[in-house]
Amino acid sequence: MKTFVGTVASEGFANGAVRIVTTEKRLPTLRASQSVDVEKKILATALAAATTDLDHMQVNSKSGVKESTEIIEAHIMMLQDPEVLALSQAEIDTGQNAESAYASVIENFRQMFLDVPDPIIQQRAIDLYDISQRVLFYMQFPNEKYPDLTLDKPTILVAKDFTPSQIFTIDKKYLLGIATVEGAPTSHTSILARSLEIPFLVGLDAAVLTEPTSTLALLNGGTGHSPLNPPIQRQPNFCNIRAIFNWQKKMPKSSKASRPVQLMVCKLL
Amino acid sequence: MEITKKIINDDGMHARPAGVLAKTASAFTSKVDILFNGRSVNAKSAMMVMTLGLAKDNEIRIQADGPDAELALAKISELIDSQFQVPG
Repeated sequence: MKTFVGTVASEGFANGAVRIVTTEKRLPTLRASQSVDVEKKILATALAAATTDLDHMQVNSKSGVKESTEIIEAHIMMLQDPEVLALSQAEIDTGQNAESAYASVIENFRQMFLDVPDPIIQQRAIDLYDISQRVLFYMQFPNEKYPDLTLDKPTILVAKDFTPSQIFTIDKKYLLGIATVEGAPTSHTSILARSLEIPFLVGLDAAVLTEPTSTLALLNGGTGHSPLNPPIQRQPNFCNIRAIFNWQKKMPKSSKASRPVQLMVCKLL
Repeated sequence: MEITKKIINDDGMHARPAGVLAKTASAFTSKVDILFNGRSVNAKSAMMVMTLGLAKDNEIRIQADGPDAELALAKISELIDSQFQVPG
């Protein structure tokens, strides 16, 4: 059995099979630019398609979860931002295709967000990445549906990182928990997980990504300030996790920040 | 026209307040800019406003130019004083 230690982004326990998710970054194609009007139309159509997706997410989001609504609204706001549109159109006027124009503008904004000292603004860079991946997809495949992440059985999702829209669109009844190598408790993905009460650990060692899918895991997103070796670790008995969670909550808090916790994985027999 | 305002909300200018500000500014035909730290950005763009990294107690200048400039500045001033609460 292996143990991976991370930081709690959303409290709670989960046990079940792990699915390692790898998502390739979508890049602009190098196709030759068509006329300026055609490229601007490609841009406008893709932005509209991405906005429609988010409108549907808004309608389908769990009612009463204010954070979900606000995060989706923030993404729609980014999609409809007048400066992003104007700068992208200006790039198209210089002869770039719509994909390259939009991607370069988004990259500039992403860099500007990362340059702001405030870590919360820095975390918005992943929101930009999130919406831009959807827009680039619709520029390249205007007649297809964006390949959102889907689940058909109870799963703990593990990845380098997850974007907010990957969590918005997933069937929550199958989402037991989330663990990532990157990410931060201030990310919109973390805020979303907390609002939906989905256990979420960030900052795990990248070796977790080499675990095979269907490995069983106990995601320990408890209070995090308890001993790292509760009795359950020697003989995993997932029925007892709630009892251990309650036991951990009684332990004295050592620190409110950077609470190390664990994701224990064992081979599925 | 120009006014000077201090950001008073504890969290500064994150996505939600930047979005509320941009939406408010967009309701006016006047050009509205925010000046801070040697930069001038379009107040109708929440993305640009966020790149300023405005924090509590930062002092900003807001310039408006157009037929409804005075009303735009009054509404934005009110919004900042309310810590970006959307009038209900």
